[in-house]
Amino acid sequence: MKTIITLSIVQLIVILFLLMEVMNGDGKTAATIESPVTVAPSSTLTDLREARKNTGGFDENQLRRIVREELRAQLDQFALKDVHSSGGEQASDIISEAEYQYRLDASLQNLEYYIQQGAISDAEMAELQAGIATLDQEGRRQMLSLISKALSSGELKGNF
Amino acid sequence: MKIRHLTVFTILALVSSISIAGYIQPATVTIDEAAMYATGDQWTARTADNDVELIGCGVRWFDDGLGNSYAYGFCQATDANEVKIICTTQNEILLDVIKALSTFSFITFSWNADNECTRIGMSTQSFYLPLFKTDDDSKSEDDDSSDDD
Repeated sequence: MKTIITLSIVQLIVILFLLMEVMNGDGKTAATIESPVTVAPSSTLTDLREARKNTGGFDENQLRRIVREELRAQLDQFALKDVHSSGGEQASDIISEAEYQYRLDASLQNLEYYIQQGAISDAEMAELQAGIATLDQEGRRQMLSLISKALSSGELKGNF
Repeated sequence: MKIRHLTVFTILALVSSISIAGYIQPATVTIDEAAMYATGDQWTARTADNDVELIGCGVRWFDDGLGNSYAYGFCQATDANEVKIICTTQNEILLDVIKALSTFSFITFSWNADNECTRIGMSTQSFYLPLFKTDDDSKSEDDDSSDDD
């Protein structure tokens, strides 16, 4: 009999402990959701706040929707930042497409001319490189590749 | 008897000169076009018995006049058979390696089909250094060692 009573008391204590843990867990979830909302409130969140006021809380689907919406908004913001930061370095973003094409063609024609001549002086190489400097990263990569190949093969004699 | 002593002394003096020079490992310029890599140390290339062998890397910095600047690097090598290779890079990590090269470094680099550098390595070791000792230095060391005796 004593054993049964002891076991019942232990069981009761465990149940009370678990109940407290569950209640604490609910509080934590609400706090986690609140912090991003404070930083970047969205219309979805405002609506849900209203819904919360009216109904007294969120169900699981509402919480999932809030998290999804907020994540999407944050990702969009990061993507926009990436486009601007990498684009700032690109010469083609600053000048018009026609102007960029003109510069690329001019660099190519100059290189072709020097290859036809078979040699390029240091001054001419410096001028060619200055032209390449006004291209974007991909344009520079292509031009440098062409110069490297020409110098390596001996088609063009000169120094980098 | 005197001749025998003189011979032994000469041999010992020679051995001593060699041992104090330290270990050397000259690396002549080697270009493997199939595997697309080149190796060699700068001093060995510079003192090669021909006027074509070379190896080295460089960096160029540019200002496009629009508020942007960019840098590219290149590595080049020519072996004794006049096989020549040049690769270029805009990769910042590879540019850092090029900047870290010193006067007597061993250099190794690889490239791809577009002649872009895909790997640049360097090694700065005592065994790539030239022998800076002059004959006078060797003589004075010999004199010092004889004084100790």
